[in-house]
Amino acid sequence: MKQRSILILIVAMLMAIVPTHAEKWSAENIPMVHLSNKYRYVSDPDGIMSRKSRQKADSLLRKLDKECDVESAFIIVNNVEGGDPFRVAQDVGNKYGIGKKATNRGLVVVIAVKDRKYFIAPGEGLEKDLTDAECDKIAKACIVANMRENKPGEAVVSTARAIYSKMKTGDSGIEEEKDSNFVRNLLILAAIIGASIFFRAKDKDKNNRDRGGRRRNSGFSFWGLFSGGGSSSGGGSYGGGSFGGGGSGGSW
Amino acid sequence: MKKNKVLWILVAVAVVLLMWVVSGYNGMVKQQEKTTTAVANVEAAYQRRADMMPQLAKMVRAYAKHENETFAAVTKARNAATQIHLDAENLTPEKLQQYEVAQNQVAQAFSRLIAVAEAYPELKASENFRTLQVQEEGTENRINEARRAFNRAVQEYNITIRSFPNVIIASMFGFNTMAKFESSASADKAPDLGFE
Repeated sequence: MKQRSILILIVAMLMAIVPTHAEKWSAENIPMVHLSNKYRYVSDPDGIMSRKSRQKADSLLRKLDKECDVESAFIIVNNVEGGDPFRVAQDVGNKYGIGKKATNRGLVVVIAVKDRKYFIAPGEGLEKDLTDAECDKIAKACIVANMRENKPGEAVVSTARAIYSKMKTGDSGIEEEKDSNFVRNLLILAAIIGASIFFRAKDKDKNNRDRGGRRRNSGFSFWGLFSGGGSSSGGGSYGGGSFGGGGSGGSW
Repeated sequence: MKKNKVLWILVAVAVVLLMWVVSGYNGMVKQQEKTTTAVANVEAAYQRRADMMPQLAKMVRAYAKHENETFAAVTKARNAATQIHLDAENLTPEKLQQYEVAQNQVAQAFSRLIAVAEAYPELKASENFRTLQVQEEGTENRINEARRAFNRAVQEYNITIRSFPNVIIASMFGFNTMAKFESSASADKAPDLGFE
C-alpha cells in the first residue's frame, strides 16, 4: 500500500514536471548551431521543422553567407521570452555579433510558433539592401502565409530562399511564390534533378557552384539534401556585427 | 645610501600612481566616447523620424488639403525638434528632458497625421502608405534600441567614474555623471500607427 502511494506520488511529480518543460527561449539559452557546425544556420531546439526542410534552409543560408556576405541565424521555436521575437532577434544579433565587423551584414530571423509572432532583423549594414518594407513584404508572403497553413518548414525555407534571391538578384521573387502552379513547380523540380544529375556526373566536387540561367534556386544542391548537411565539419563563427532595431515583425 | 633607497621607493610609488591615473583616465575617456557614439545614434534615430514627416505630410496633403492646422503643427514640431541637439559633454537631466519634450511633439504631430490619413480609406489602403507605416514602425524600434544602448553606455560610464578609487581621477579631470532616458517616456508617447 505504501509502495503504491509512493509510486503514485512519483508519477504525479513527473506529470507536473513534464508539461512545464516548455522552454521560453531567449538570447541566453538558444543554441547557436552555426558555432558548432559551420554549415548550419537554422536553430530549431524544439524540433519543429523536418530534417529535410532544415537542411534545405541551411543549404540556402550557406550560400547567402558565402555568395552574398550575409551571416545569418534563423531561429524557430515554440515560445520566446516575453512573447517578444523582436527583443530576442536584437539580443541574439548583438550578443553573438552576427555579421562581419567590416560590412555588418548580419541577419536574424525569429519565428515563435506558439506565440504566433515573428521578426526579421537585418544588421545595421544590411538595412540598406533589406529595408523594413522589404522585410515586411517577404515576411507576409513567406512566414505569415505558411504559418497560417501550419507549415513552419516551408515558412523558414521560403524566407531563406526569398532573402537569398533578393541579395543575389535584387528581386525576392515572392510574387512567383504566391503562384503555386503545380505543373510549373514540377517542371522546376525536374529541371533541378536533371541539372543535378548532369552536373554531378560532370563534376562531383563542384556541387555548390552557380549554375546561371535559373534565377531562383541557382546553384541549389539537390544532392546536398541527402548528404547530411556536412555534419562532420568544424564550427563556424560570427564576426562582430551589430543590430540597431531595423527590420519588420508581426503576427499571423 | 639609505636616502637613495627612500628616493627610489618614492619614484617607484610615483610611477605606479602615474600609471594608475593614466590608465584610469584613458578608461574613462573610452567610456565617454562610447556614450558620445550612443548619443549620436539616438539623434540619428530621432532624425530618421523627423525626416519621414514631410513624406507622410505630402501623402496626406494629396487627400486632405484643408487640414492646414495639422500641417502647420507638423512643420512647427519638426523645426523645433531639429533646433535642439544633445551634447554628450553636457548631458544634464534638464537637457535630456528638453530634448524629449521636443521629440514627443514630433511624435504627436506624427500621430495627428496618421489620424487624418485614417479618415481616407483609399489612402489608408495604398501601398505607399502601408510602406510608410512599416518604415515608421521600424523607426520607433530603432529609437528604442538607440535609447537602450545609450542608457547602457551611460550606466557603465557612471559606474566607472563614481566607484572608488576612480572617483578621485574623475573629480581631478572633471568627468561628470550623465543623465539617462526615462524608460517609460518613449513607450507612452510613441505615435499611434493605426495598425489593426
